[in-house]
Amino acid sequence: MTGPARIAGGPAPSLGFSFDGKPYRARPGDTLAAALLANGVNLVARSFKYHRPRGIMAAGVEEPNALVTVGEGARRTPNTRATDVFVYDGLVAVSQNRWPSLRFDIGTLLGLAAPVFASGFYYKTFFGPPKRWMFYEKFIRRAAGLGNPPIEADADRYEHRAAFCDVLVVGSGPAGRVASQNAALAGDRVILVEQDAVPGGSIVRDAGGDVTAIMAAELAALELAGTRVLVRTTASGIWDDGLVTCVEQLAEPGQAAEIAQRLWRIRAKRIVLATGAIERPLTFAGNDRPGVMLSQAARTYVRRFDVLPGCRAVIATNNDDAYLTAFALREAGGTVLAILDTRAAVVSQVVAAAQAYFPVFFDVQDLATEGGLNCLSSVDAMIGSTKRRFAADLLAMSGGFTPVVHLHSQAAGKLDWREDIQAFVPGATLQAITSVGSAAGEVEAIAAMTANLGKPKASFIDFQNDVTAADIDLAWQEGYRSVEHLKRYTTLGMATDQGKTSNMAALTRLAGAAGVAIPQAGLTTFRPPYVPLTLGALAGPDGGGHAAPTRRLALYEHHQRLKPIWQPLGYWHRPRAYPLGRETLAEAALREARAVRNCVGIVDVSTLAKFMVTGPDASAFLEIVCATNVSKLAVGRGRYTFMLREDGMVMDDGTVWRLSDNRYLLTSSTGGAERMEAHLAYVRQVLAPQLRVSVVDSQEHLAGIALAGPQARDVLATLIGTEPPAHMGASEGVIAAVPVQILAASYSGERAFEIYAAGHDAGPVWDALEAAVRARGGCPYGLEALEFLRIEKGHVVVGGEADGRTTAHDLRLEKMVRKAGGFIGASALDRPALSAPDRKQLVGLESLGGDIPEGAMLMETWGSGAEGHVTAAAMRVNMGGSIALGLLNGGRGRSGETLVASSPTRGQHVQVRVVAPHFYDHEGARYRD
Amino acid sequence: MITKARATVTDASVAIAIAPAGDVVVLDCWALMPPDVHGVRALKVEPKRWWIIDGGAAIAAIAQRLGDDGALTPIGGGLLRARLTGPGWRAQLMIGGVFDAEDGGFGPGDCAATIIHHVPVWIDVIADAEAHVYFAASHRADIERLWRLAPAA
Repeated sequence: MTGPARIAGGPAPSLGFSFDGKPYRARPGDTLAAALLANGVNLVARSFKYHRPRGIMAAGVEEPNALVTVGEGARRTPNTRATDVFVYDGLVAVSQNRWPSLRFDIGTLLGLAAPVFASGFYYKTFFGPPKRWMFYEKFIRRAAGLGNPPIEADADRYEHRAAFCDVLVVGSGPAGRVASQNAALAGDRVILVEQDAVPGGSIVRDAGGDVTAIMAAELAALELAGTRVLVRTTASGIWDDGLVTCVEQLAEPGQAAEIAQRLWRIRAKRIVLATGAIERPLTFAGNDRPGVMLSQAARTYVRRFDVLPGCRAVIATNNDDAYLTAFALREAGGTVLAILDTRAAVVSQVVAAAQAYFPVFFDVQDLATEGGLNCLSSVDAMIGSTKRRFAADLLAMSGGFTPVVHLHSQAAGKLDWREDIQAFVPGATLQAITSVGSAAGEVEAIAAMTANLGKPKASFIDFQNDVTAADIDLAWQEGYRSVEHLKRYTTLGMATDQGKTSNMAALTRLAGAAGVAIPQAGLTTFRPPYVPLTLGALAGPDGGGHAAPTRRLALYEHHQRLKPIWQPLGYWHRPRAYPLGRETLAEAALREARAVRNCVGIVDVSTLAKFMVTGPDASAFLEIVCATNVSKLAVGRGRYTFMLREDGMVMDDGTVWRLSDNRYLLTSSTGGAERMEAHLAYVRQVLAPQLRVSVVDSQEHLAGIALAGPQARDVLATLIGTEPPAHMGASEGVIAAVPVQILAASYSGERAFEIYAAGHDAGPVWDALEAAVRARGGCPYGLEALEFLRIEKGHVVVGGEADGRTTAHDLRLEKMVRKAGGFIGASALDRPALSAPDRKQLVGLESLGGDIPEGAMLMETWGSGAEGHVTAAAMRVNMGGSIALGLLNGGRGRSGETLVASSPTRGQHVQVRVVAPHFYDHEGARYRD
Repeated sequence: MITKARATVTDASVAIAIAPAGDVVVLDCWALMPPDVHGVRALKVEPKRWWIIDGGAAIAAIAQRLGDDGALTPIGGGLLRARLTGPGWRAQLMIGGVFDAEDGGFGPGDCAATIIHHVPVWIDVIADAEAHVYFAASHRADIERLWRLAPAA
């Protein structure tokens, strides 16, 4: 018998899974790695660059080799560590980065050319001429990456969840559990997170027996004491102020579940890191073969999973801990051929005990392995001056231990160097973070590693990226002195494992080449996440959407019945047009706009910002906010207004209505609603806290419907049974038994009314208006028609013409500015630059050719410098022809000039004539009775 | 199922019902002391702002007492009220949230203005096993999806 196998006895494997299409059995609690080893599978993957056969090296998240694709279809998860997925019934796993099969991989030919693919191969090979990149790209893209992501939309659900605590403990090993218990005893709110499915950390690895049940009982006691315990939860990032993001795996990769993963945002007053340490491989020729495994991993497979990873083992080590592995293997029925210790003769209890059972050799140098695709066949070593060969099928190696300082470092904690363990340990912290146990450096001391390697080109340091000791030497020779440069030149420490097993070996090699101590060689930056996260976990419940709220109109269902084209507008979604039959957007919008010009239409204006301003000082408040006259407004009257920023630029516009002596309604743009709310709060609370005024956001309280067109007055009069208010008048009424506020204002240029009702009651009002409008041949209209109408009328829009850089003068609104001042932005208007004649000013544009492209540059001749731009373009509603509004340098004095509207990105260049920015009913006769 | 030593979050149950908030009126008061609203539920949402919940006929009396010391403005037309009943309401509000609703100090009579999944909400703790959450009606579909509720009719 040779190779890995399940240790005899124990429960029968009850779970079925497959690997590369072949069915296998596993026990509940097996990782995929354990299950594969139990079934005698040593060959699991092909390496990234050279397609070398790779097995299982570790037993945790640090695994660099055994990356597989798990799941099928929309749940296919590539680059999953076989050591970090627990087998479930029906699990489907396939190897990756090989063709046509794992055993026979054409990519192996690349390995034969390994000397060519040294550090910086791409940089040295794929340079110029630029057009050849398109040729190179095909090959580079095909070679890049490992597993393929799914093409289908993610089928899983994800959740984001917050939690708060006094103490967050990361890691449930011995140190973590003690920290949790102490904090709980002190009365703190405690959260304990453990990335494994089974708590216990090193206990689970070393204790054996029914340790899982014991650990579960311990955790139950902790929970009784008030501790929240989250298993299968990895703390992946530490941010400012004690914020820790953790991902909880509620389902294994590829497994269907109600929720696949939960991203916890835990805010902790104090953080205890009991994150343990990662065992390091030794660097020698052939250290990447299947059958070469980390010592503690071998022990884990024996003790936790009842799997013997090899029958004839050699232990290679530079520390005492690996001796424990020899005992574990022996107890499981394996044969330990030798313990090869790189140290000079060591006197310790465990070494002495081992010498009674195993051949122990000290001062071992120049290790090397031989083997086939699926197994190791021998281990060679120089012992003293004698070369010895051991016919082993397992090499368990230990190059020492690297404390997991990732989270400490992410929180900007300093690192201190420990010579005895040849590793960095947590130093000073900027946040309330403490590292304990192995994470704090409580690990075995080791012998310093030697730089003498027999075959550096075959001695791997970064297994995942196929970076050898020779690659690091070459990078050094080529001048890459900084460890950060070395990382990027060689790809060392990149990809899914982020150098968890390779960083220290690389630093040792680099320091050796530089002739400096390891701390002087530098260290790369630790950044979140600690382990790879799915994009689904980050997106949370927004997966498949645009990761932003979608605000629905109160009248959403009423619009939906008409099958509109929906238009995102900020978070809102509004009807853009209501096409009939096979109408295009433009055709539908033109039909709707003509209905308004010639008959009557209704449009949902609920999203307009609306503020109820109430109190004895309401008028004074509005005089501060609005740049126009407000105080003289009579009850029942309204007017157009605009608001300036403190720098004098137009911030927003709308209307202000005096509903009663001390109550006003201020409206402003949809897009600026939140900004205006903040602005009004600033004025009320900071600039004028003495005013007795209440400002209440009523945007959603009042749903709004605009009724516009030559027949609007008649429609409304019929519905309310009385004469509607005159233009810019306000009144109250009842439509469909719903009380409404009627404001006679026109945005379209036609006689029009804005009709407001409480949002929850607005449905019957819409229904009544729609029926009345349709009875007269009119129809509902959307944003596109609204845009046609307002452009033709020459009304500016915030975000278009009022783009944050324009003044009232630029927009030809200066006559409306209150001469007495006293409003925000008034003092800035005195600056001559704000009324300079060459500023960009609002103009109208008529096409002398085809359609005017929106956003086009305005220039005197094609190719000359841009003097302005088109802000909005439309068709004339009834007459045809293309018109636009624009901002043009000195535009107010350039009427009659012919310019070119040029859009190079669309290849459109149209001659336009500069005209006044009003194309329709300049006198406003149509909206006055 | 995933192999675990034990379940990670043992959330208690919660029942959720969402409906128009109905009669909600903002009371802004610039006097030093708020008016007497005894008999009517007043939710303090800002230092000088209360929401009068289901004030009904009492609103007129409050307005009279308020005089020029404040103002009343209805907002219920655009608000929804989610009634969360059952001991699991605290855990429910941690989903997509940023506020510590699980803090035992946050109890009946308390109010928190916070956000849940980007949506501004006001949490009104009614009892140990009941809280009301107010939010703008436009966000209903998002909240229902987040809480995995059947869509509103």
